[in-house]
Amino acid sequence: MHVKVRAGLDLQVGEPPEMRVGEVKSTSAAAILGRDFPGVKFDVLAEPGMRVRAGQAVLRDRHRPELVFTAPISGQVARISRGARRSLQSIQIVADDAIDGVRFEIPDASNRDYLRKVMRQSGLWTSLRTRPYGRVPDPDAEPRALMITAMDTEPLAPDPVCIISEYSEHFTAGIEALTEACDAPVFVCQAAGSDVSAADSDRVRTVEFSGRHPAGLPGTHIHALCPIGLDGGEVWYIGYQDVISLGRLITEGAPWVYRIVSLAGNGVKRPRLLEVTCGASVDEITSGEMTDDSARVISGSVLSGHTAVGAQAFLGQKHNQVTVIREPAARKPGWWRRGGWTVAHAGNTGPLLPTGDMEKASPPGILPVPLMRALLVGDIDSARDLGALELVEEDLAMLSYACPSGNRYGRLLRNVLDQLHKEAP
Amino acid sequence: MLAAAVVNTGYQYLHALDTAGKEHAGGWRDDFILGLGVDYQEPTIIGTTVAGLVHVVPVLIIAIMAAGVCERAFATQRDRPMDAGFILSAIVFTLLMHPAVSLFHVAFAMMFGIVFGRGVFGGEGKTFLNPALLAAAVVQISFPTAHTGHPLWDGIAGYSGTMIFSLFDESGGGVFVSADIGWWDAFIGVQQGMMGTTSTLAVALGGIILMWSRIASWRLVLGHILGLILVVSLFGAVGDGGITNLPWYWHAVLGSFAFGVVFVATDPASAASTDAGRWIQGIVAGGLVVVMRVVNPSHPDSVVTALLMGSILAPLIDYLVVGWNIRQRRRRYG
Repeated sequence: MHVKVRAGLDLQVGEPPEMRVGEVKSTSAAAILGRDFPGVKFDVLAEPGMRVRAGQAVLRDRHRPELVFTAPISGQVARISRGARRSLQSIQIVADDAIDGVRFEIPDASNRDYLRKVMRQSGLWTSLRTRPYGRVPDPDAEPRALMITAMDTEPLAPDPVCIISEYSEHFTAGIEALTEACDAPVFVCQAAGSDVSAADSDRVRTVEFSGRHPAGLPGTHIHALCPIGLDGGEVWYIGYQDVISLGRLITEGAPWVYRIVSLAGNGVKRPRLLEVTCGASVDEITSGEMTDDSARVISGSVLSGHTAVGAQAFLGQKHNQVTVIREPAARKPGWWRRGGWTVAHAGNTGPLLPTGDMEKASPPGILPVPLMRALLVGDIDSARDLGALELVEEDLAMLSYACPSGNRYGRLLRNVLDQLHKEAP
Repeated sequence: MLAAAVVNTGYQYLHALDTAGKEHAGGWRDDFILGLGVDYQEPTIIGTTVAGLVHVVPVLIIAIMAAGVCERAFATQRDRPMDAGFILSAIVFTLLMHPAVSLFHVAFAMMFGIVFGRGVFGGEGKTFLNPALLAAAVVQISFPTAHTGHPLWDGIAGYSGTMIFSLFDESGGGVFVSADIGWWDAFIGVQQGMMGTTSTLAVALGGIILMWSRIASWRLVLGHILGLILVVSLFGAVGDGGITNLPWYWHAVLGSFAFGVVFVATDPASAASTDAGRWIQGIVAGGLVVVMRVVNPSHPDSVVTALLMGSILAPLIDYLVVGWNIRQRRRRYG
């Protein structure tokens, strides 16, 4: 099956990375970021100074105590940072040299309950996401469909094909495990012309997508293959590196705690792929790699990533890239701009001008300008009617980029989704 | 656009004087131009440009000043920074003006346009009307003689682009021959009309840039042209001679149609904001232009009124498109 995505914009932000897997960059610090799990209230199971092993639970979901979040590396808990209203920003761990990760019993692949239990204990369950809302699914829920995102159209993203081919056994084992873990059809979404998946079966179907970004986003795949929204059903999705990790868990008893990320952007000396630990410190990844120390470092893509500073300076759970952008130095305003003549910048947001760029940058099937207006005024009923439930932050990242007003629609969407989730039956 | 406006206005002015065999039509502009020593019988490029500048620049300056005063007042009152968009409004408004327009009318209409088409709604991007278009409509409605009142520009030899409809209605295609206007003249823009709107060629060049950068929507532009063709052929099918016989390619190059469609109707803030809505708004407003021209050929130029109707209808069209989208989504997801 082939799906062509017609919208989309091209973004040039630097040289594409050299697509060769193998180079390891060792880092000492790693963290779990609270921002990766919207809607979760954390119980912290560790305290600063405590030693934890890789795979050991350090956080727990207060409302769903079966869900735990595990340490990616062995070492000492260095810091627990909290943000507004004591929400967890990050729990940081500094590695020691011991290699003593927790080993899990290799599950019997045909026992669904046991498989799900090991996925939860190892923390891999938390790499699943639901649509609508983009949250971690409930442990006993059943999806309508499960999407494996085996393509990436974000600017400067690594090529999934060369990573999956390196770990193809684990990838296949991971797909099999996911097929066991739920009844729903499993879709492997890959770029047109690439061949990442094992042969189609009656449960696993490979779908090719072609086109520019957002052709590679799970939101686009779900819209094309199993649209959801108003009737309460949900679709799950998971990234290809998480599938590799799951495959390793069920073949070897311990999850793969590494990520192959692309280090790229116009502020990087040599753009290439690097193997780093999950949640690795972005400062350590970029040390010695940047052409200019004042450049902006982003975990994730320039569109949907987060600026990696302070307690957030760690690789996000869903991020397969680190982008370094040299911002143009702030120019002095020209004479025609002085004396109180300004455009939208420095925190001011301007008006929304509905130019044709919005349609190009919009997720498929969405009327962008009416939705943006609904989000701006916080009209959650209209936003829901216009398709907000099909979306998460990353789907609106291009609209935020294309809109000259300076509004961040992803953040506005999250507020709307949180309210809709609260009111959901 | 401004350059084309200057050259053509100057050319038309001198051409009209030449045809009239006068050297003075009795106005301060004429005194000024003659004072600069421009010879209307053998106009040079410089002379043409000077004559054009004398017509365009005062209107432009007055429009910018009037708009600036209102914008400044709103900025001070509301404690927000001034926004340079009013200069663009003033330029578009100037280009929509008749060369002999009274400067008092210009100032009054521009202030009205900025205050009620922009200021009261909260400024740039928050209004549903185009201030320049509103101001041009004010000139037409409040001072109906402003576009036809100057002896030099109507009755003599050149028929202004907007007079031509009533003339065509009376005497048919012969009017083009007697007025010595070929289709290519109209396309390139060497006929009388509003200052900046006569040259379809210059408009097309500007339009390509605007549409390439996706500021102007090609759907809107194409929609207007489609609406124009559609309604012209409807009238042609049921019409009884007279102006109903005027083919669409004449409609498209005469009057302010091309300029209005490319530079005014496509203003993103005041046009429909969905793709389907853009098509609908274009076809409706493009059709309205023809309806007004055909039903009332003596109207100075229906383009301004029709486009204003189009942008007033835009929110309604969007509302219907959004409702349709919501119904589709409900049906799809049960």
